[in-house]
Amino acid sequence: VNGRAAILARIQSALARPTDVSIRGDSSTTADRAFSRFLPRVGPDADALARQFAENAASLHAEFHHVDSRDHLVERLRELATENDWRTIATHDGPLAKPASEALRVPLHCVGPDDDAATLAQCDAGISECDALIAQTGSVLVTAASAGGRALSVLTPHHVVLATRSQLTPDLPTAFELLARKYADACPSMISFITGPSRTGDIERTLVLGAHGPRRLTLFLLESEE
Amino acid sequence: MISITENEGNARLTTSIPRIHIAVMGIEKVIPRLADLALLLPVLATSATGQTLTCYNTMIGGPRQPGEVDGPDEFHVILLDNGRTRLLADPGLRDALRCIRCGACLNICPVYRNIGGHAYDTTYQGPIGAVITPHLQDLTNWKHLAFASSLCGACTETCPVGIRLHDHLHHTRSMVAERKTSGLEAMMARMYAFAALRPGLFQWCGRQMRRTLRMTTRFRGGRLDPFRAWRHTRDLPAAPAKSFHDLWKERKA
Repeated sequence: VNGRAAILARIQSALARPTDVSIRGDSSTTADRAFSRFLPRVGPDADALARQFAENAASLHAEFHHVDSRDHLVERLRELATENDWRTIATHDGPLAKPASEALRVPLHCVGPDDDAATLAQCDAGISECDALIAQTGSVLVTAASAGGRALSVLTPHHVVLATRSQLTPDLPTAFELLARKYADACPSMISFITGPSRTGDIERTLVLGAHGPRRLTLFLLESEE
Repeated sequence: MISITENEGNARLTTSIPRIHIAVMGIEKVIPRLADLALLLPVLATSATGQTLTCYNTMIGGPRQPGEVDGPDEFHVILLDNGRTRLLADPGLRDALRCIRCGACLNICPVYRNIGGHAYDTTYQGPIGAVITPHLQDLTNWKHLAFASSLCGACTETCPVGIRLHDHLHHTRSMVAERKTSGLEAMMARMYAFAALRPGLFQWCGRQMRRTLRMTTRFRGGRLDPFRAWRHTRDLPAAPAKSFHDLWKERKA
């Protein structure tokens, strides 16, 4: 039996009867337009976006730092490496992430197509790039194309994101527009909005930091790309 | 593409490392555009846990592509009907398929808050579970769920997608009422009506009931306990010494 045809036929015959409007709510009218009122306002300029992102990151227990240049970035990463005693780190072949990670002089694993996930799982930190930072929610937008595949941003206990100022985005609708524009021809197989370090609310509905994903999330915003 | 919402990161790991990814989803969860998630993801998180957005909101469009470093070799999506088209076919219940499973109606429901999720013995609990289970499973065995509600309407008020849950519960009750009741149930209702119309008999029954409750307390949960099925999992309230009728007479005197 063809399940797909059977289900489609059932849907078609079910929809032959119109919905009973007396029991349907009237919420279907302007829900999407009304909703934006409930989310925090963003903008109007890049400085405001950066400020809002920083505030959201702080409330999500993510660590957010501004860095002026690539040298400054490497300096801050080196501090982080010493502080946390990183033995091995992982990164991907990105124009910002790879040189910065190499400059740390810590044994480096650069993810590639023939890897075994076990190697990545041994690393103390994963350093990746991203597609956008979303000011309204404090989220980082990553894709399999921009952030070294799927596992790099979730398998190590400490995820470090390198972003540039031009990647600051006001909200989710603009992020989806950006995705449509950037990957019009070839959409990566995975897109993810990362909003703070991993957590769980499953135990007595209290949010606790550090579940299956990284317990720490550190974000660096590079002010100038030179 | 499929969209997965989580806080832990286990779904991201599960969809990153194994060789085959199989996703199972209800047919009612198909939405028109990817960009619609810009609305749905915050609605879900806000209504579920009060977060603006949950920790990981991941969209997956297929297996690993050429040039990507990891991800599964195979990707399968299974669209599950399992009674959902039955809900769709009922013009009065169809709306319940708009549920995004945030759980806001559970958290606000006075019944759910008192009895907890396990008492429902269903996949979906609380008001939405009570609405859809009798139709996804069968009305005969699950109709009691529609009656385990005060119809206070707190669920309808809180539902972010505007499902009129208490109306659906009411609708399900009418469906049950239109069906023929079982012989035993009808007989018990007749017996109750008979006793309720005869105050002397009603008071005598009440006295016997209180006596039985007091007598069986010592066998509580044991083999001789006539309320074993109930007391096996919870307490029965202790029988009061006097009935309301007795107290009324005393205080009038």
